[in-house]
Amino acid sequence: MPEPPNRVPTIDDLRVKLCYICREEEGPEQDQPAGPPKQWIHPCRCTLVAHETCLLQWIQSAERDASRAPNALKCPQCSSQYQMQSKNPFVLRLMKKLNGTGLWMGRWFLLGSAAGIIVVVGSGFFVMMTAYGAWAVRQFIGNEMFDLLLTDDPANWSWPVLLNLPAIPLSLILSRFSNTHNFMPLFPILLIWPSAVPPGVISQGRWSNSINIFPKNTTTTTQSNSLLSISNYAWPPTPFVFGMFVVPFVRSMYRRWFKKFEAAILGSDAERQRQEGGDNGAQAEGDVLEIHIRANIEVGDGGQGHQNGGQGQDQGQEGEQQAPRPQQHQRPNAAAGGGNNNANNNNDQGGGRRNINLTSLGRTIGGALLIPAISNIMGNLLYRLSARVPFLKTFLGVRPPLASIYNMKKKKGVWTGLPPWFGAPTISSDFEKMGFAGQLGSTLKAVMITLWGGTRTWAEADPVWWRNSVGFGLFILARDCADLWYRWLAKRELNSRHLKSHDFQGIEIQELDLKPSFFS
Amino acid sequence: MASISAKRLAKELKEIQTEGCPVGVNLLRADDFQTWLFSIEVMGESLYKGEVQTLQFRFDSNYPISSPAVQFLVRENEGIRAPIHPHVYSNGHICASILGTEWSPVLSVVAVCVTLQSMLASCKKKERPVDNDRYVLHAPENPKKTQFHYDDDTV
Repeated sequence: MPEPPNRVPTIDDLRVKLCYICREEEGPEQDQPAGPPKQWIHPCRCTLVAHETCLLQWIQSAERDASRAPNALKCPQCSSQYQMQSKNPFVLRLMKKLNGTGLWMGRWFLLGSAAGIIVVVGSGFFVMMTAYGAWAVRQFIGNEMFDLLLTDDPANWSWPVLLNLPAIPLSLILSRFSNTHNFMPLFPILLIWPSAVPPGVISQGRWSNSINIFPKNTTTTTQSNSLLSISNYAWPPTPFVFGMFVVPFVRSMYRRWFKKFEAAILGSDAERQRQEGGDNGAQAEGDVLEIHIRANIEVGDGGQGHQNGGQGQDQGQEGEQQAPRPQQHQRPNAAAGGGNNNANNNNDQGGGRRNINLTSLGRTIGGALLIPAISNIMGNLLYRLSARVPFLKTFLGVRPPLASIYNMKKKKGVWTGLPPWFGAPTISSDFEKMGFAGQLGSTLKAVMITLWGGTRTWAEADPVWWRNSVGFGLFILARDCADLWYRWLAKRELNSRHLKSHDFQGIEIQELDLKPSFFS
Repeated sequence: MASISAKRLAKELKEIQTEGCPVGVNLLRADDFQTWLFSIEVMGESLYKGEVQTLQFRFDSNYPISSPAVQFLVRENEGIRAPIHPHVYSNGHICASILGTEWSPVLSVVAVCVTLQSMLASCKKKERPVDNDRYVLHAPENPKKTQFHYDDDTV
């Protein structure tokens, strides 16, 4: 036997390479496999070698499962740690962390709301939901409109309001589970009051009626100044027009556009699925935690279904394989069925799928209930920004609060009284003289015009709801972009992965099947 | 083009055919790359002396990245039952970490057979898992869909 040379053999010195994952061999006697040559690596301290692509695929699939993730980068035979390099910028790690935190918060939200539900059931579901609804509306339309339309005193709320308010949290939550997502929740809010008589107005006693839908003279309905002339208040659109037409249109355009954008950034769906495909089909990230939670819950309920067996002697163990010890026992989770359903995962396109599991449920509900607050914050930001950007001010239709207009006029001495429409009687004597059919027709007409054109109250007031809607739209855009960026970074991280290959330091040369060229 | 699993299984099958199975393990059926059947028997002195079990392997297209679904075959009407063992449920499902979280592509079908053989061989007391009835009642058809919790490190 020739004297071994004074250097450590590397993977290139192996006569035959056998990938421990796909079991494909490469060597002088083997046919060269079709396709481009594959990169071989020796990532650990034992004799196992593998194709880099095979190993990366294995690592990726192992990382997806929380229970296997800790061992994803370990050699199954010698347990040495694989060294992996990839483009993993700080931003991506931060986002992953935040994502984890979000999941964590979702879980706590769920626990919190479970406790909350007990309280709610005790104290009255309706009251709680209504209180939330009122808060949501205040967030969304602003304090001024809220005081004007609703007031803080529930005694002023009309019955449609009392029906609508508690429906708000429900519709917000439901909207997250259907495909019509994100913008839809604002819809019910917008539609509540376009034509309702604002109790605040009446209760304040300043104005006998702010809208006076019933004209004094039925023959001059169109000229009646009690109804809004659209040309005066064309911008911003009325809540009704906005909710019925603008939102659905913008949403569908946005979705189509964003999907294209997404495909351009991330590559085709096929590519994405390949990326996501791993162990037994893809497991969405959320599932990882789901399994985890279930495990935790099971731990809590404490079955101790295990026995001691003896240490297994590895009887027939041959060759280089050290099979791990025979396993341990367990408690099966009857509720399982968690991770691996191929069928479902095929639908995982276009973001339409929502995993219904504990964690994401908490996150989804929590997120839905935060929509009014987010709208409010974004609207506020826009408002502040509009002070410096004239265009934005026009676009948002920012107006000073109603109260300040009147105060200002008073100071200047111009103000002589309430605007004419505020002083008009609620129901004119003419209207009372009309027959039932006439009353009905006139009422319907008024309602239609009001729906279309909005009420004066809506038009006159600072359109907080408008900038909040715009703000929420921007928030969705920003969120989607951040999400896309995250996925792009994650994809780049996966694609840039490389494992460090080591030489066979510390391994007896006799154990290796080396090329003759190594010894020469 | 054959999938990775088909290629690798073809290799494993060839090895079994040329080198034979370990003592006590026999290949019963491997007509395709979806389901294989082995018989396993514990050699030497053990609680299972004279018993021959049938082990069923099911592979998906991601094998060996994803673990095979392994269980003892149970055919009550043919008198084929799962061995009585604290880690084997009466429906044939096996709670073994190497079939779940500790699965690694370095393992093979034969290695799994051998490991399970030694699991039986080392058994001190023939009994079912304590939660057998509860588990079997709700168990998914495929044991891979069960999230076993391996908390007995003393085995």
